[in-house]
Amino acid sequence: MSAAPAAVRPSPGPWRVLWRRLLHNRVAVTGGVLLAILYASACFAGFLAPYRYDEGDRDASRAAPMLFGGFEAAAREIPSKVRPGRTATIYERRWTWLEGGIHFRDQSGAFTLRPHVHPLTEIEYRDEWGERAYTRAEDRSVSLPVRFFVESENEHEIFSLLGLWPVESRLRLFGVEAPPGTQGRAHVFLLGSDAQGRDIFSRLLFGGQISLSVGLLGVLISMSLGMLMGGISGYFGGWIDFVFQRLVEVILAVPALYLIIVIGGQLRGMKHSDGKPFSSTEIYLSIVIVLAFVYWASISRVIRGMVLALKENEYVVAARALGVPTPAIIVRHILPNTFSFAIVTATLTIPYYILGEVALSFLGLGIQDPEASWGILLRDAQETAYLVEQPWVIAPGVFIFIAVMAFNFLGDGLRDAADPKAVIHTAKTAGDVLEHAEPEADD
Amino acid sequence: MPTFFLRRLLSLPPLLLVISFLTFLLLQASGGDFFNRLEEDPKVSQDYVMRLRASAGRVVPVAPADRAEDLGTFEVRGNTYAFDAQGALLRDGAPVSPATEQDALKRFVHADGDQYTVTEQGNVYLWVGRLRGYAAWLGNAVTGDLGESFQYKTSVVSVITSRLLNTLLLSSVALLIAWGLAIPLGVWSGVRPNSVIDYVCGATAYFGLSIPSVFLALLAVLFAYYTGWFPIGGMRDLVRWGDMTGSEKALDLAHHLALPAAVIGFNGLAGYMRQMRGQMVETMSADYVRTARAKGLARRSVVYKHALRNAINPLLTLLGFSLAGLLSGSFLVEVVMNWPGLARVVVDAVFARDEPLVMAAVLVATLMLVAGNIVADILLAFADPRIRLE
Repeated sequence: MSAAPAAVRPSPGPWRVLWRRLLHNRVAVTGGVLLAILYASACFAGFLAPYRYDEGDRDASRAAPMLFGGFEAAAREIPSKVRPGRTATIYERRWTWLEGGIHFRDQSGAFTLRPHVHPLTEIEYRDEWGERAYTRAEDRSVSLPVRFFVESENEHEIFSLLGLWPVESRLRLFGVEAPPGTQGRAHVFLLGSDAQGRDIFSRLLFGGQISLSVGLLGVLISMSLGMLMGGISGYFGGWIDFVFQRLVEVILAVPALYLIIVIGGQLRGMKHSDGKPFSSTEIYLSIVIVLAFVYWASISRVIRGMVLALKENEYVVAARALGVPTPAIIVRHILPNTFSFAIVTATLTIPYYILGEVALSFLGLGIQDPEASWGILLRDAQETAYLVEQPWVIAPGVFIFIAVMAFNFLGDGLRDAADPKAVIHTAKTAGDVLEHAEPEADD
Repeated sequence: MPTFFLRRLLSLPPLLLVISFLTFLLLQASGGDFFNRLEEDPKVSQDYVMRLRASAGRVVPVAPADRAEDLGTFEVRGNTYAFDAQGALLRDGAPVSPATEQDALKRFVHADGDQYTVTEQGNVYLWVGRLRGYAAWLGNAVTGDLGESFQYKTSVVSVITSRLLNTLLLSSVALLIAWGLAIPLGVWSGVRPNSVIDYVCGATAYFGLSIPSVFLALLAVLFAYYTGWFPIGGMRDLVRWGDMTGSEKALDLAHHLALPAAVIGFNGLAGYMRQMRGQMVETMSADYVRTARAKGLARRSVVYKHALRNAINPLLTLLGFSLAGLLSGSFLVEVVMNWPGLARVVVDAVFARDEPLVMAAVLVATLMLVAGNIVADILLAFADPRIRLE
């Protein structure tokens, strides 16, 4: 045997082990990085977005997503319906992939590293009936450079964390400079614009502030509530437990979406006592509270089960024998043992809050226009006729998808890291089946 | 087992009672704005508004036979009123038309402290608080009368029934798709863990678990539009439906059903597939499977006769839970794809403040969820003899 090591290294603490295991899980790290990007872009929305969320230009409505291409106006001769034998020149917009939109050629057509955009233009013509008609497309004869770190006219928040610590500045990451003659026509719409001519990309970033924070705030509230109620219920038992558990049963018995929508609908109709409708901040908070109220019940139920098992442990009995007051036992000795569960559950349930907000706002019961959230943005896609004409309004769905998937990646990774036995699970009870729906998630 | 079943069934009525009461309180919290606004509309008769109020449990009708006893002789604005045995209004002992007495009787405080309304057509309503209103609603509900829908102007039960059937049709087809694909795919990838097929299935599962149903439904609408293979939304071809024969109707319905059912099915598929795969991987490494292989049984027979039969047990429970989730899973898909199901009704009812309809929908949804949970428990007991239901 070799010599004893010079110093015994202390074994790493449980959180360190968890962290290390998590870093080894490539999928989980991917999820974490994606989330970091999403949350950072929401915080810095004011800086990253070229426009404010409510800043619209009616002359630039329904513009194409410049990231992928643009519409070009194409003339076509068709027989006139009013003057037999003659033709009418009509203009139609024609989509061209990766041509137009953001491009890397300057005004003279030479390649440049600086991205350029074409200004939008409206072509007026007479259709086959002799009626005035308009087509909006890109003016391909002009290329305008996109400038970085531009200054806007007014100061705006470039950083915001739930409205706390706002940083104001005139700086924006990028914008397009409008030389004389193109005023009102020069825009940079990375993901297109909506019916009011508002930049969807900017609204998506600002919408992330609402949609992404609803998840964090909601989970924070329902976790605290669930742990408190579950802890008390499991520790004391008796009639407290009975009352709490019946309450939990009632909430769990109603399908979550129905509950959210009915409560949301009621809140929507409510007004202040002086007849003023709720402000956007109040609507936002009420959404958070509704979601937290609906989702705390299942958390409290699981915590209660864990506490029931934990309170029989020797160290709890010892603490009780030493005369430690009950609240201290619950808070210092029992609840910390449920933290790893809580963190895993929180990560895996945040998508439900995000989707809950999306559902509410999508149905018109949540955030209201002109405020931006991913749900209200997706509401534009609800009308089929509008959706098929402007398929880019579906962009918020991609963001919701990425956020949900990233949380699932991270949550699965956390669960595997927190549970050394998670490699293969035997589902024995209904609860097990649901809790460990992905027994194989381990690489 | 029968005792367990009975106990679960017996726990249902109190649960429904509490939920209906809380929903009732929640709906009443908005005040009577809706009715007051309706009353100001000259095109709407007062009797109609009062009937709606009665549906929502805000007033209680006083039956003609009870009027004389309940109200007796009372004085409003200097006139003495009474009701005869048939419930007709009398003023100073002589019959009088209620329509001419509206100044006094539109809403008055009776000497016993209660507020009453005598409508133009002579119907009498008692204004009640929340508790009595709920009691009145409950009294009607146990006889199967859930009130009249404000929007549809028919009984709530008939509105809910037809929509519920549509929703159940959609979600049960979706469930069939999900399970029909999940089990073979799960078995397939579970028998060959870490193969290409396994990875493809795993990635698809992650995709399916994470993609929001509303987004997938919107993509499906775009897909239907660009390919033209499927109708965009709806449940039937409204133009030609009347001229169709039975089999054509069935075909048309299936055509409309395919896309939304596929969307909902794909959303559910992922979870079941992962579960099936996990079970299969575990069972394939069990001793009895090794024994079966060692004694030279064909691979097919090992997989299907020995492994699958044991692996599939826990999925029975999942089946129960998916029954419980039937209504929720399809909610947003129904809205996006214009399926005339319960979801659309609930959303419209919430917007229109159609209280009886919202109330009934919440109760139906609750009933479905709880029934699903009971089925799940029972299936679990069948599947796993170690679990004993007391």
